[in-house]
Amino acid sequence: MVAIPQSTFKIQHAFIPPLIAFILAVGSWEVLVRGLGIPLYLLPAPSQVVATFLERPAYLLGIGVATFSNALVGSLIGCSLGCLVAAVCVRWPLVADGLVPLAVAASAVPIIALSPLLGIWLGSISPASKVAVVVVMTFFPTLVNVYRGLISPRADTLMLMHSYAASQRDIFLKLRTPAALPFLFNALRICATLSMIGAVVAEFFGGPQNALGVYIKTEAGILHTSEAWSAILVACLFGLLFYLAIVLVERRALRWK
Amino acid sequence: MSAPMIEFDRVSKIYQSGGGPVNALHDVSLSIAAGEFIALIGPSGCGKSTLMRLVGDLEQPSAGGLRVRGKTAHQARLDRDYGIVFQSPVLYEWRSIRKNVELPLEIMGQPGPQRHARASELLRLVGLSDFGDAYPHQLSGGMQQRAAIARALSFEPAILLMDEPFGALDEITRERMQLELLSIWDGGPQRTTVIFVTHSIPEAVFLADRVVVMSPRPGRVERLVTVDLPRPRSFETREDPRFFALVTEVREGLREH
Amino acid sequence: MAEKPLPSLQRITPAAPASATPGASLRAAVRRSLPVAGVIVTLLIAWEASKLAFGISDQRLPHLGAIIEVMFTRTQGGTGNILLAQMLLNAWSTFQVALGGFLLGGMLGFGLAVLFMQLPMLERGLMPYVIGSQTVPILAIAPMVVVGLGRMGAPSWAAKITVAAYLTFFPVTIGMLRGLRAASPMSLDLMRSYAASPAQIFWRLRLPNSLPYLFTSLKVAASASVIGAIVAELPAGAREGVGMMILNAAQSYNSRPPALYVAILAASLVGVTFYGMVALAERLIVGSQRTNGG
Repeated sequence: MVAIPQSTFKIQHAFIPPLIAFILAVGSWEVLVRGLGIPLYLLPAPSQVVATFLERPAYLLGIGVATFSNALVGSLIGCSLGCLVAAVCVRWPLVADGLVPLAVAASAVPIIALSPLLGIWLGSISPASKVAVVVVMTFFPTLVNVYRGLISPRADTLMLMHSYAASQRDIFLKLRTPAALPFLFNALRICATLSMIGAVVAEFFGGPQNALGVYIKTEAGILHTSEAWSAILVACLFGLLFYLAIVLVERRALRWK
Repeated sequence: MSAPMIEFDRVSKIYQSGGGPVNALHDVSLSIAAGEFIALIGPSGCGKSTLMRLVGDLEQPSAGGLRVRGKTAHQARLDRDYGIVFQSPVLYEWRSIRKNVELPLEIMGQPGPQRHARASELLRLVGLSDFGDAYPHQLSGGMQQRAAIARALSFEPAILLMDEPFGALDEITRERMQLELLSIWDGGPQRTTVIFVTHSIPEAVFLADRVVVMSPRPGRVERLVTVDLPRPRSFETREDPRFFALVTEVREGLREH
Repeated sequence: MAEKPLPSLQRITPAAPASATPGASLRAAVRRSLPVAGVIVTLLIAWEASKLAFGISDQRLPHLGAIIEVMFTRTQGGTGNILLAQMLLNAWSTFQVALGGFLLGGMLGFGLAVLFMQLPMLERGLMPYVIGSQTVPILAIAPMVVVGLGRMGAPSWAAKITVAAYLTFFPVTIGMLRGLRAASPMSLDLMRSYAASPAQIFWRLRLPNSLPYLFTSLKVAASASVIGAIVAELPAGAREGVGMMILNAAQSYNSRPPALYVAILAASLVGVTFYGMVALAERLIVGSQRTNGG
């Protein structure tokens, strides 16, 4: 069928312009930094960042894994809790009336402000306090999004279930849950980027020696800018991988879209 | 004849709204026999949909008595005595067409193989055998509505409630669907009792055994027109002089109030 | 099988239009805020109760009263302002930075969206990086941006605003672009039937049509810009702002725990106020008939 060549054509279409833009962007960054003679401590050229990364890739990836695992565990806990509370909100509307407006407000609160406090409670060196920051960061967007998804079925779709005299359980499992899936994945995509940022920034307020945030802060503090940027590169990499993993799962789960 | 399938006894329905109470139905009495095809017709706001929804226990009467198969409408719903088709197909977009048809059977706890067989049978009946694995958005409006009819019939309910099911279709598709509906209805071992809400006079006359002409403010039954056209009805029925006479009679009934 | 009518069904089927008397709308507002107040009170009680039940020390979790008390003590060994006043001053300073970043980032995001709408090729090339830029833990770079720009001689507020703006533009671009594209083909055909110019189509159709989308993303951007402003205040040397307040309070936590809670309160205050202002603007501009689901 014609469908296959067409789709490969589309893939080329989707990848080539970004590729060109990438080369242009990195190239002009390189040229600008070298051409204008911007001092290294201010902004290193991409080639310098990569070179610095290649000096000790294993170490950088290692501390990347340490920070990323905080992000992963934290978002797992935060998102699960968010889903759970959203389900409770649907079951007891009074809880929703009280909680959902607060959750909306809470997503306007800069959660990073909590990280020193969580450090004091759970130990600023321990990963637990970093995980806790990510949990709080991911909990509220998940709660708000999933709740909206669970109440998204229109009146007539509910009416249909009503006409079958379906139980609350059936309505929840066969109607609300699938209807909420796109909303859940929306939340997960937000959380994927948020959690990596949260885990890194939480480490700014202190953390174990081998962690991205601590490394970035220390190196930037002594103007080892290239080192700091190579760590940022690693953070980017993990953030992007996390995001892509979610998108892949989403493609599979929402095949009906 | 035996006891009526559905019996309205001086039923009224009053909605409370900001502008004061609205008399949606006033003192409606109507008796529908088993296997009868009833069309409800009238201008917007005459309460024809309300009348249908009372049978489905989707709304409750404000006054008067309503018996469905000798029971309360509530009990009839719990006993899964009726299937319903709305103006929009209300298919669950995350389920394949086959899975949509199986939905009520799933809720009623039928085992998988039995569901599968029944769904295949119904898909053949409505001419969607090749589309069982398709998702709703891949089908045309007419095909979606066929799937909705198959879903309503899947558990062989005694009553079929149809709320302007062909209202969103074009005239050509619509006339074809009317014929198909009749052949499905005629084809079974036992005729289902149908309540069919419509805006179209020819549609009401073509389909029904009796047309209930309603008028608004307050909603009440204006006239009952018995359609004595022979069955099975066909394309030629629409060219029968008797058909035109009945259409005229219904039209006059609508003009009266 | 015992079954009651679906609560959610009743919640979704259109309710009777509320009567317009001021008393009724006031009563509705009270009814809406009552559960929220209930949750807040529950949380505060849980705070004190958990102190009692688990014997959590004042060092870890101070009494609510202690937090209020510390707000009214003078800073700098009794010579400075009371802490509450200082907290508000710092909050105001952060708010200004966030607002500046919000405006700058908002305009940038808006401009990018309009540009992308006009030049799809540009969008295809740049959009992945606009999205990718968000996976960069920009907050990780923030201190460096501040330090770097500072060394180049830029005033400190410029650096902070840059960080806040960076966090702001992305949601605005995405939301605005989606909004600009949301005009239905039929309404576009209608405009073409009037031989409307592209500018007229933009101002009379696409822009008004995109407002609900714009405000949804502006609300996200509001919180993002506050986060940006606070993080930009973290590098050593900041003399004012909520970020500085948090750092100082965290460092002197052992001697005065409640101060950190006051700092967190200040951060929440800025975030929620900013969000609330955008939500209010949405209510006024887009109108109450289109704000569904907040």
